[in-house]
Amino acid sequence: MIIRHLSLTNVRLYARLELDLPGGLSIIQGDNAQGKTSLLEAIYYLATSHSPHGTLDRQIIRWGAEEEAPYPYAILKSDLQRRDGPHMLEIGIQRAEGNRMRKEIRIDHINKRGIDLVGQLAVVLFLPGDVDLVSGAPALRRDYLDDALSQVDAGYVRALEQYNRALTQRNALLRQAQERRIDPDELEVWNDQMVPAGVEVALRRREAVGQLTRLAAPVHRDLSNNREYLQIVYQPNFDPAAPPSTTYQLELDNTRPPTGMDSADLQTAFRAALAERQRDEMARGMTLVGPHRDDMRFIANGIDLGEYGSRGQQRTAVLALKLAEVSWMRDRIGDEPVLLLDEVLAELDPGRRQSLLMRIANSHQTIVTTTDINRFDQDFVRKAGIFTVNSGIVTKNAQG
Amino acid sequence: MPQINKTLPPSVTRLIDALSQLPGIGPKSASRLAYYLLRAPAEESVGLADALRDLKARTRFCSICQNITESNPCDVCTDPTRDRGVICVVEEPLDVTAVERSRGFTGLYHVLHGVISPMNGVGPDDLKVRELLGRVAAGPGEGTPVREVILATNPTLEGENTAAYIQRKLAGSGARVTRLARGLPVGGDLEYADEVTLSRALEGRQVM
Repeated sequence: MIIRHLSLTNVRLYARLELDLPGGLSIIQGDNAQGKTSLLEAIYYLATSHSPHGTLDRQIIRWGAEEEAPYPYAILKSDLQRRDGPHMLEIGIQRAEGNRMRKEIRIDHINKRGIDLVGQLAVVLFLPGDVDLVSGAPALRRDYLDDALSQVDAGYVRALEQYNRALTQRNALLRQAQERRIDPDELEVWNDQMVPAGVEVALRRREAVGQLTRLAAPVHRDLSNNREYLQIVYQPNFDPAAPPSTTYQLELDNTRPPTGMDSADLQTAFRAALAERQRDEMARGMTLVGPHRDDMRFIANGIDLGEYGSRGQQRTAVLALKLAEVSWMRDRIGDEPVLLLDEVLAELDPGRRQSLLMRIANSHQTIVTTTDINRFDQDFVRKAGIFTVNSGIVTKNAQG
Repeated sequence: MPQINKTLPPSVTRLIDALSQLPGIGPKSASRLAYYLLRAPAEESVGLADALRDLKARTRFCSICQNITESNPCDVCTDPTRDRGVICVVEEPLDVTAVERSRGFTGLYHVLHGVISPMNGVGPDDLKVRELLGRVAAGPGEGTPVREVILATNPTLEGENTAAYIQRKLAGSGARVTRLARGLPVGGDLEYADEVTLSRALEGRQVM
């Protein structure tokens, strides 16, 4: 798919932007703090209805817009060319009374719910900070999985929403258990809501990680000049069939539930684990078992890159993952996602940069930002649309 | 607190402040309402004031179904033509009105006045759950046993949870516990039904 046109009103530092984008490659150049990343963020927002890395909705609205209107708003709009024809996506965000935020989503001019965005605009975003995905907190990796799956799988969005809501309620109840005696049935009925949704989330995550690792391994082998074999391993917080040791086997089919376990078995085991930890949960006032404590690990040649990998190895692993995500989304939704690369080329050595540029040369649409266009080779630049950003104003450079 | 011009007399600001406490009414709507009443004939504001005063003074919870009523027990609970063996459990008094409008129900009601939501600090004891269990255990007074309890809470996470909780508490009471069916709205279009509703409708399909 291709974003033909992007229109922003009061988004980040853009008071107003109307931008025609070509298919293939676009390079956005400009100094720091001129609006390069904001542009990619805005596109990401249109795909997911939230910002990457937990930026708040109110922060999307251009700073200063509140001085011009009592209830400041931002509008993001895009004209898409998808395999199934042209489409229009629009998200409006407005600050309402009592400091609340109102969000309206329109697809082809019709008001829709957030979940209807799934599969509309698929993007793979790569930010410099994404290297932390390998070595950072498990929450980063869960967010990554949630964001990737939420773009392609409406069933996942629903299961995750239900799980999170039931979890919030259950945690509130467990906190109350520290002050009053709660009726065991009160806890039990929340388990009834949380367990099936939690198993659904875990199963879909397992499947996604399995698919991603299968796609990422060959890319990674390539990027590491056949020296390293990457495995991305899903580590569910709750795994009734967990192997006794932490050694990782090669060629393990990790897209399916553990051997001999189906959804019903997993639910039974999840409940048993909750029962076992109940006393603990009451004492600490929170839910201690479930996919909200999942993790995934990056293993290369048997070594956990999160703990023992060099920065360079971690970067290569994330790059392989992101490139795998592109093919993964294509497989899941039957259309090519838009690839958004923010300054990532700056961090790569020439060999890997070349390898990346070759891989994205055939994508339907890739938007790359850079402070220094001279990092790209001439051939590459000639094929690209070049844009310059300066204080929230984007101009297309004349070709040649 | 909304910032209202200090030149306004206190009696006006007091009304504006009071009105803006109401749900869905901000300071702007509140001032508009206040100025409307200021200009309208005195009977209008006196009528409104009477209505507001009576609202609290004359209403109470029905001692049987916990609905809002002026006479205790309420008109539904004292109606001899209604089936006392069936109780329809709803979240709010407005839900009683909704079910009554259907004219399809001839039993009695029980109003919970909310749903279980630990996030908002609402547990079973903050609702009229105990009263319901008491009714089912005792029968409605004249020795008619309760044959069926229909759980008509909303199909939200909290509504489902509250229904599940009550169902657990009623297990072994002898009463049949049922839940409202979920599915397609009448006059609706399959094409526009969301996936969850449609899959629920499939699960709940019936032999023709």
